[in-house]
Amino acid sequence: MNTSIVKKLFVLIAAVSILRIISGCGDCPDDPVFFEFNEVSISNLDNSGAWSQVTTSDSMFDEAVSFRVMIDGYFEPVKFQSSFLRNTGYSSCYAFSKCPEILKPLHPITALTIKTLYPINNEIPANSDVSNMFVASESSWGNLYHPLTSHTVSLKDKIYYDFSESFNIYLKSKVLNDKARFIISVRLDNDSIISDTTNIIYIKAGK
Amino acid sequence: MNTKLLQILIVSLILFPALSVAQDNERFKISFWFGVREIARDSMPDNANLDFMNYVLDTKRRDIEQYAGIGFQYKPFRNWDFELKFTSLSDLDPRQFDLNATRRISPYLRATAGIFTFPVYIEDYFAYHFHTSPGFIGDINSNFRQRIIREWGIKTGVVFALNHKRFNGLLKANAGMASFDRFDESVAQKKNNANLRREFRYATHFAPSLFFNPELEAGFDCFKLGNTIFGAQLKTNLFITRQAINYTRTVYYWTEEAPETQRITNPRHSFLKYDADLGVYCRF
Repeated sequence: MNTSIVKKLFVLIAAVSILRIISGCGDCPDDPVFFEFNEVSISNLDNSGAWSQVTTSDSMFDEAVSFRVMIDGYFEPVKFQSSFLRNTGYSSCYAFSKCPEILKPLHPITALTIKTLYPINNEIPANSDVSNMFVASESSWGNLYHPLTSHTVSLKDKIYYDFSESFNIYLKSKVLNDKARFIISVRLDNDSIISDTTNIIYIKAGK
Repeated sequence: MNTKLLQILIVSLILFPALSVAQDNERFKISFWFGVREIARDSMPDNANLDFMNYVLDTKRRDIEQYAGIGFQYKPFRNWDFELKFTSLSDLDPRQFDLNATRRISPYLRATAGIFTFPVYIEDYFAYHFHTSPGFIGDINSNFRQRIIREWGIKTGVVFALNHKRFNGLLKANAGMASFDRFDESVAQKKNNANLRREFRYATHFAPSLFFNPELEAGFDCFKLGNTIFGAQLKTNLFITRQAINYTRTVYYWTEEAPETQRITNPRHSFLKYDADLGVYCRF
């Protein structure tokens, strides 16, 4: 083939690539967008019926102490911008109308600790670590709960589609006190701790 | 293996080699029928264990079932015939079948062997948990529970044949072993006004039982067109057994950790299925 034809072809291909006329089909980019967890908030749950639901009431049955824990995050826009290479040359098209944004926490959750501020019974005084007495569930439905430790492990490599984590926690023990209150602390893998305190819960005897 | 594939394989293994060595005197019979079915079983009081047999849908709790069927009979040799019958209930699922091979011993006596399956409905079986779990929501899944379980069996027997002019009759006395196929079920419960959840998971076992299965078939040749004879037929079929549904029960409290597992053997219930149908056939 004539050298000049090769050169012309090369120039044509380069021009088309720079102008991004040709689309290159491919998978969605799997590089995640990182975000930071920065805040914990707690809501009360009414778990008297078949399914738990968020409530504004501060009273709970003695065997139905439960909370919804929400850990909110934020992202830094500078980390969200696309790389230079991804926007150069052949443009990308995907089999999706819009690729989902894969979000990962920069510092994942590594541990959850729960401390009671009031005695739960004669054997569990105030300021005890009661983490092992709670079980967790990602949603308000489902048949069984997960141990809090295994739930925490499952969060380590979790991929998010929004900047927050939320789950429910349920106390296994009966509260033999007229009040209950807990501090819930979330440890991240950079050893930072974010925490929140529940409202004072007024305990009523189960029927 | 897929059940349909297995059925085709069984039919192919029997019919296609036979076709290749078919004799001049081969005869086919194709028949269609409509009929009614009655299921009866005894109930036993609830005890510490769920007894699925108490929830087998019998004709006390629902209308008599109706069914339609089609049968193919092929006689590749002088003294042998093979018969495959498909029957469908109102769900139009044709996977109820009966496959038989029959050997002619004398003009009046034949020996037969075969396999069969038929479906039985069980429903509302977790009603048991509603009245045996005080303080709990019996089943947090509010959907109505119904499922089909299939009875599978092998049988053998003797056939008394009577042919007189346009009348032909068969009286079959079959016996064999049958069992319901296995199934898994689970029910989740939650304590009222409390966080405690628990889940019962049931995995049933094969529990073969002996059965007796007399059948009566009567046919009348109505007319003949060329080499094809058209006729009407009446069939009845009684299936009597004493059957149990045994299982392994695993109970989980709070989480899937440290479940309690127990193998449960339930008492046998008398179980009876009675079919009666009318139909037409053609032989050629």
